[in-house]
Amino acid sequence: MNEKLKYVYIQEVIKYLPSKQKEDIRNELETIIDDQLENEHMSLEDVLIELGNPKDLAYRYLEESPYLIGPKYKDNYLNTIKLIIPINIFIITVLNLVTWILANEFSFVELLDSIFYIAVISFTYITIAFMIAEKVNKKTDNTDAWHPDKMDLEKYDQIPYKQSSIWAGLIIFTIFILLFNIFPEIIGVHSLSTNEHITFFDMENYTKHLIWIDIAYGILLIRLFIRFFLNKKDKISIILSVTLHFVASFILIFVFLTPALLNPSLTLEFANMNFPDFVNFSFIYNIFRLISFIIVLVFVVESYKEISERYKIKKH
Amino acid sequence: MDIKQLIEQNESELRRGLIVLSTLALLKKPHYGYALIQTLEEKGVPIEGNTLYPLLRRLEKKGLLESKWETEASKPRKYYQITDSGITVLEALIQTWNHSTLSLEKIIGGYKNE
Repeated sequence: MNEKLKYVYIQEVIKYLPSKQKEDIRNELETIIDDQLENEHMSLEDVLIELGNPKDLAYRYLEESPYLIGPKYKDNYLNTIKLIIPINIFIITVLNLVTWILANEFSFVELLDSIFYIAVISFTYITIAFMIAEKVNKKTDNTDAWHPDKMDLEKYDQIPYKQSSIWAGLIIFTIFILLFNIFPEIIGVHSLSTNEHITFFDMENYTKHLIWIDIAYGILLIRLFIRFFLNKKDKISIILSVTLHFVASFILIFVFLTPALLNPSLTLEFANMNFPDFVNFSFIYNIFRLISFIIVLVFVVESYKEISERYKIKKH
Repeated sequence: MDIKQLIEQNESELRRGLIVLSTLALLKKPHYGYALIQTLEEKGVPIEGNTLYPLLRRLEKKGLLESKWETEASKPRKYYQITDSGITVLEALIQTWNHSTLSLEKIIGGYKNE
């Protein structure tokens, strides 16, 4: 129990420190605590009380004033910027090129404009998200009357969310948000021989449905950021994750199962392009039903995984 | 805030000014963190660990101290020692201290004689 308390205390100090300093300060603190325990015959609790609140001690090591985005999130922030902005630029370039192929209209100026726009927007939102996380982190760390009892000893036993799943989620999210918001007309069927394109969506009324798609994606993005910043599978995180996933899935299914989302002229347009008779409005509607089923399946499987992993941790 | 608290607060401020000077002076010989606290306390400059340990690191970062992990003993320990730059700073601080002591003696002497 003592070793765990010591370990958790040190982790709580070094989490605020730059990665270069963590190992050295961890080793030093271990030695310092052991020396005091041996020589002053104090309890571990008393030694830790004397050392003080882990966050205060960490900030004394840091010396500098509190950050806009502090050491705790700095590495993740930089990695997110380095990953997401190039990927977004790549996606928007690909989508622009696809539009060029479909519409036979290409504007280099427009391409540059959209690249610049997506880079600035991505940078802004990522920076704001991390600034909010830093502020929340400062507020939730209560520095009044700190006592070793207040530390969560189970915290470092919990399996964190895999970084790779969070990155994959962010990339998939980016692809779909760009596709549905900027290039919805691409979603359809294109004939290379005749250079004709059939859009699945009813573009005249599309914006009505887009609002709900964006709300669902917004909820999924919040869920991703909660996983990213909390990065632990405790009861509250899991309930939040499952609930947000359920709400987002429900909204998307509701939208995809709305016949009014689809292009009412699908059957005629398919016939004009000499598609077989079974390829018609109902066929495309059934594809969207299948997509809705997949959304339900993904929700069930992911929720089961999250809850069962939490149950395994608890049992352990 | 009552008088006792005010006295404690100002004593702490006064001591804070002495800590860097005391630490640099004692680190002419290598010390590890806990041993340095013990020595400072014995010499009448008590200091808390959560003040000293970050201070040692800051002084090291500024080039006034250097550190080395000693792994030969049963327990690895990080030893700090003053550098040449640290000695230069220490000697300047000692001069400042001596001047300040003379000035203060005049001021306090004057206060007592009034």
